[in-house]
Amino acid sequence: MKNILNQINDIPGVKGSVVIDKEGLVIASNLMSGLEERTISAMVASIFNQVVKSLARGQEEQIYGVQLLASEGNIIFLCAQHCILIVITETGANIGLVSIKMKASLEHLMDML
Amino acid sequence: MLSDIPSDSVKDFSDQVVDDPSSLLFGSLADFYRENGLYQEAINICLTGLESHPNNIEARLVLAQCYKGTGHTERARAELTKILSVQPQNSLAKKVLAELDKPGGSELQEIAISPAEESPIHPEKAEETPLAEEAIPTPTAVPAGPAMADPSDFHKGAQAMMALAAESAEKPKIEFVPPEPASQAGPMEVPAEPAPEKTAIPPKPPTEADPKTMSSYGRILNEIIQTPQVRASLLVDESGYPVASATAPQSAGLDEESSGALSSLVFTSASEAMQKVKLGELERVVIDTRNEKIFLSRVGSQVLMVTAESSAKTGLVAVNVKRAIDRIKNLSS
Repeated sequence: MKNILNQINDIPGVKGSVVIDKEGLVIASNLMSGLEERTISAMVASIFNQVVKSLARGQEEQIYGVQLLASEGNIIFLCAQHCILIVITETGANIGLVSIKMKASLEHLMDML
Repeated sequence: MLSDIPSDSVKDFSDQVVDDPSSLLFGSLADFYRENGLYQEAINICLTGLESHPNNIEARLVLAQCYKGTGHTERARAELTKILSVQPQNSLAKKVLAELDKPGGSELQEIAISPAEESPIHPEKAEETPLAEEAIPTPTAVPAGPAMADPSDFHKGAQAMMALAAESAEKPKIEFVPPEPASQAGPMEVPAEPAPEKTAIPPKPPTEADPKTMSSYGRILNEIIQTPQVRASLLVDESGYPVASATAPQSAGLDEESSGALSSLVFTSASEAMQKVKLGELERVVIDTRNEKIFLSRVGSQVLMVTAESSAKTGLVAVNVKRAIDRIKNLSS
């Protein structure tokens, strides 16, 4: 699992990646210093749950992923049945490339979990 | 005020419209005429354009407003009914209809509409804002005559526009290329008169806003939904109140109230979270689901929500949303 996260982190502009469960508990992480994995995990789980409620369908599997684009960095997360893969990037990172890599990585993670 | 418009600005606008190959802009041009009190020209443009594009909601709305402005309430009501049958959530149409239903909602006597006649009267504007009341000549104050410094500039643009509309009637729909902000057309676009009560009291429902600004918001949102695969657009204020919305004709109606509230809630929470992890101010949220993509974007203190099909091109939607944001910001400033 660590290898998968390392591969994601090799993409230019990526500052770190985390795998969490739907409750926000960290399964694996590889973050640059300065990023607090617990804070990020809890925040992503909270946003994920809020989006699920907002969609008013009660079906979390409807959500593929969410991108949060801010002035000093981005958080992208992709959702699978039992986990969420989170990647933190700098502004200006190639979001398309990161997303493609994340999709491939998520499939590997799903096989492991 | 109207005579103060630099003729260069007018010409620029006409040229801008002419240069744009999208014939759907006839609604914007007609609205520009309407905003300048040239109701008859606006009506002619709308009627001609709607022959080619009968589903153009924006133009139909402008037509209804022109009919209202000229005292033809029944015609206005008929147009608004058509709009609401397609877009039951169209807040501007509902607002204009509600104004018609008010006693004295149209204070004008019926004015005969003839194609050759020019109407420099601005009854609607005189009702809108104190600024308009001061600045726009009333029928008694100004003798009948052209309201614009040089209306021929408008006419050139209109004629060319109609030619383009007729030309492109049989062409496939062109991808959305929004025009330059209408506010650049000149000082006529006076959207947001600074209203001190806006900051002093809790936010009001959007229907209380300046109708001209509302119309401009509606126009911008309508242009967003011209983007391929975009279903709807909704602008909400920081409290979650819908400000303006637009829905693509083929899409199901949008529940403005709940969508607005939830968009604001999600964006606010995500924004707070991003600040907690020191990633700065949240600009945009893209939610990718099985059935659709939802774009939430910051527009000052407001949030712009755009929904699109799941197969929509994220980059294209993002570019058009960004342009729309710039235009909304121009309106607000």
